[in-house]
Amino acid sequence: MATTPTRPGFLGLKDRRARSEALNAYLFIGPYLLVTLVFTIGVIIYAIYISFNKFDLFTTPTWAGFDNYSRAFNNPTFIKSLANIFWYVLIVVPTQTFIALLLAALLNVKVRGSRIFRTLFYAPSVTSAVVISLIFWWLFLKPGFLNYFLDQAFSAFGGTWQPIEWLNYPKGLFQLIANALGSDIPSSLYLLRGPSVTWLAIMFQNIFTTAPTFMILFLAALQDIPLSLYEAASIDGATKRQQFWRITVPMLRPSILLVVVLGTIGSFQIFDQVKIMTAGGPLDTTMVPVYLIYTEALGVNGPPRMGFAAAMAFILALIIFVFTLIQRRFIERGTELYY
Amino acid sequence: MATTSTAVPRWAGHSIASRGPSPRQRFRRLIVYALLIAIGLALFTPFILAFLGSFKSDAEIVAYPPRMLPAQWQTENWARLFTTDFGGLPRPEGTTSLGLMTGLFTFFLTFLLTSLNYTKPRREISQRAGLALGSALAVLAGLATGFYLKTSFEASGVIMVTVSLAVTIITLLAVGIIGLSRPNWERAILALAASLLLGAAVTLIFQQAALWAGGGRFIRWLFNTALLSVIRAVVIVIFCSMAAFAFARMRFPGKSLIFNFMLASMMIPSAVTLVPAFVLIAKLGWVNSAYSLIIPVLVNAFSIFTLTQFLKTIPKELEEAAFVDGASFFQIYKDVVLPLARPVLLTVFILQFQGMWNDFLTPLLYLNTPDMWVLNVGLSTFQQEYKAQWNITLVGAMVNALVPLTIFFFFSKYYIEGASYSGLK
Repeated sequence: MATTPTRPGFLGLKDRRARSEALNAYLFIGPYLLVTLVFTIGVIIYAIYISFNKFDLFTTPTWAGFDNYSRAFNNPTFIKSLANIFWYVLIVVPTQTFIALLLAALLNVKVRGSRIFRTLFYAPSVTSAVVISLIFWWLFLKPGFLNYFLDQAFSAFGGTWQPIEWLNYPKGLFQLIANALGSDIPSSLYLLRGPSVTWLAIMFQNIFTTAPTFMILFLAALQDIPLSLYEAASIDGATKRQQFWRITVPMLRPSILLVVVLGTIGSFQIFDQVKIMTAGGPLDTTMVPVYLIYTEALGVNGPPRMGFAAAMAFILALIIFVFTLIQRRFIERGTELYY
Repeated sequence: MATTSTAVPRWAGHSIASRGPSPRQRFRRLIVYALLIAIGLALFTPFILAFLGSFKSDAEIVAYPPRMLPAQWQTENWARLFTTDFGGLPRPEGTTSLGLMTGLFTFFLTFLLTSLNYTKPRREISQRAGLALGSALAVLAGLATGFYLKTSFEASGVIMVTVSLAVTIITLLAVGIIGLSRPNWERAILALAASLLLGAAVTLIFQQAALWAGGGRFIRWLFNTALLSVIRAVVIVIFCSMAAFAFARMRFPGKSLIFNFMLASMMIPSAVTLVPAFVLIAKLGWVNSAYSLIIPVLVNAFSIFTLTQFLKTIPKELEEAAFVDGASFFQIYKDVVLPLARPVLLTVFILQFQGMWNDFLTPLLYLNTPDMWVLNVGLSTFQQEYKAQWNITLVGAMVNALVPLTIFFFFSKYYIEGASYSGLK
C-alpha cells in the first residue's frame, strides 16, 4: 500500500497526477470495495454454493445438486408462503401507492400549516415495525379497540359486531364471502380461499406505516413539476381534475415506478410483523418466505438446513426480479414522452 | 435540494393572479383542512391509545369494552419496566466488542481530523519513514487489540485474528489516506499515537459502561441500541462520504463499472444474503458481538448514492482554488467539500441512525443472549415473558418509539430531504 505511488505506469496511467488521483480514489472507496467484496459478492457466491449442498452449519457441506430447489417446490409450507406473499403484494403494493399519492396530493395543496401536517403524517413511518406490531397486536385483541370501534360503528347503523380474535382467524376472504352466500370453499384449495382475516389485518397495519413513507417520495416529486405546465393547461381550459390526470400523474410516472418497485421488493420480504405477531399462524395463513428462511437457518424445527434456506432465498429473489421487471415494462411505457 | 424546500409549484389550490379567496376556494380549503385533520387523527390514534394504555392496570388493559382513559393512572408501570431484570449477566465478550467498536471509530475520526493542517510540511521525517512508522503503529494497534481480547476474556483464535486484522486494516487505511496527502509526518505520527491512545481509552470506558448497564435489563438494551445506532451512523457517514467524494469528484479506472455495480446491488433482495452472511458471521465467531452488526455495514450503497448525487452539485471552482494552493485530495474532502455537505451528511446520519434503531431481523439473527439484545429484540420477547401484561409491553413500545419520534420532530426537514434524494434526481 505504501510504495505504489512511485511505481511507473500504475494501472497504465502515465501522468503522475492521474496516478495519484486514482490511488487516492481507491483508498477513498477502499472500505466500500472491501466490505462489498466480502459481504455482498463473496456472500452471494457462497450462497449459490450452499444452495447446492446439504449443510447444517456444523458439519462439512455435502453436494446435493438441485435437491434443495426441488425440495423447496415440494414443500407445502413454502408453497403456502408464496401464495400468501402473492396476495400480500397484490393487495398492499397498489393500495399503499394509491394512498401515498393521495396523501401527497392533499399535502401539496397550499394551505397554512401544511408543513405541520406533513410532519404529523410521516411520524408513523419513523417508528420501528416492532413497536407498531406490538401496538397493533394489542388493538387487534379480542377485547381490543378494533373490535370495539367496529361494534360502535355497527350499532350506530342498528347492527351488531361479534368481537373476533383478529390475529387468530384463519378463514380466507373468499371463503367468508362464499359462506355468506351460503356455499363454501374447502380449505384445501389454498389459493382460492383468499388471504385469511389475520393476513388482511397485517396488511392493513402495513399499509398504515408504509403509505406515509412513500408519500414523502411523491411529495418531493410533485414539487418538482414545473408550474408552467399547469399554467399552459389552465389557459387551454383544462379543469383541475384534467390537470391532475393529464399532467400530474404522467409527470409522476418515474416516482410511481420507484415507489412500486421499492414497495414490491419490501413487501416480498416482510418479516418483522409476522415474526412478532403470528409466527406464520394460524394454519400457516400468514407464513412468509423470509420467516421460513429464518426458521430453517436458525434450525427452529430440527437441525438448521442452510442449503434449503439458501435455495428458498434464491427462488424468492428470482420471483422478485421477475415482478419488478414486469412492473418496469408496464409503468415505463410512455415515460419517454416526457424525458 | 433547493427545489424541495423553497418550491412554489403546486398542482392545485391557488390561481395565478392572487385576488382574495373566492367562496369556492374557501370551501375547498375547508375540505382540505377537514381531510388533513381526519387523516392526522387516524394516523395517530394507535399511538395515543397505546400511550394511554401504558398507564392502565393489568386488569384494565385487556378489559372489554376498552376505555380511552385509564381509570387509575398507574405511573409505576414505567418504573417497573426499567427495574425488571430479564436475567442474563453481562458477558465479557459482548461488552468488549461494544467498547472496541466504539474505540476503533473514535480513533479513526480523531486521527483523520487532527493529522493534517494547512501549513507547508517541514521535511523532518521523510515520506518513506513516515509511512513505515505509521504502518508499524497500525500493526501494533492490531497486536494490542489481540492481546486485549485475550486478556479481557479467553478469546478464540478466530476472533483474535479477524478482529485484530480489521483494526489493522482500518488503521492502515487511515495512514494511507494521510500518507497520500504528503503531511507533516511529525504531526501525523503524533496524531496517530494520540488517536490510538484515545481509542484505547474509549474502548475501556464503554466496556465498563456496558458492564454497569447490567445484563438483560431494559437499561442495557437502551444502551446497546443507542451505542450501536450511533456507531453505525457515524461510520456510514465517514466511509460513505469518502466513497461518494471519489465517485463524484475523482477520475479512476473502473469508476463507472463500480458505480453501476453499486446501483445494481441496491436491487438485490437482502433475503439472499441472509443465510450465507449468517454462516460467515458464525464462522468468524462474531455471533453475539457488536462486530456482527457494525463491520458488515461499514458502507451502504444507498448512502453513497445519496451523497454522490449531492456532491456532484457542488461547483468545482472551489476545489480548483484549493488545488492551486497545494491541497491534497483528502484536504479538499475534509476542509472544502464536507463543510458544504453538512446538511446532507446530517440526513444520512439521521436515516442510518434510525435504520439501526429500527432494525430487527439482523440483531435477532446475530444477538442471542439478553445482555447483547437491542430494544427491538428485547421487546419482541415481552409477549412470551409477560403473557397478558400488555401495559408493560406498551411502556416498552412507547420508550422505543420515543427516540426516533423525538429526533424526527426536531429534524423532520432532513428526513424529507433524504427521501427526495433517493433516486429521483
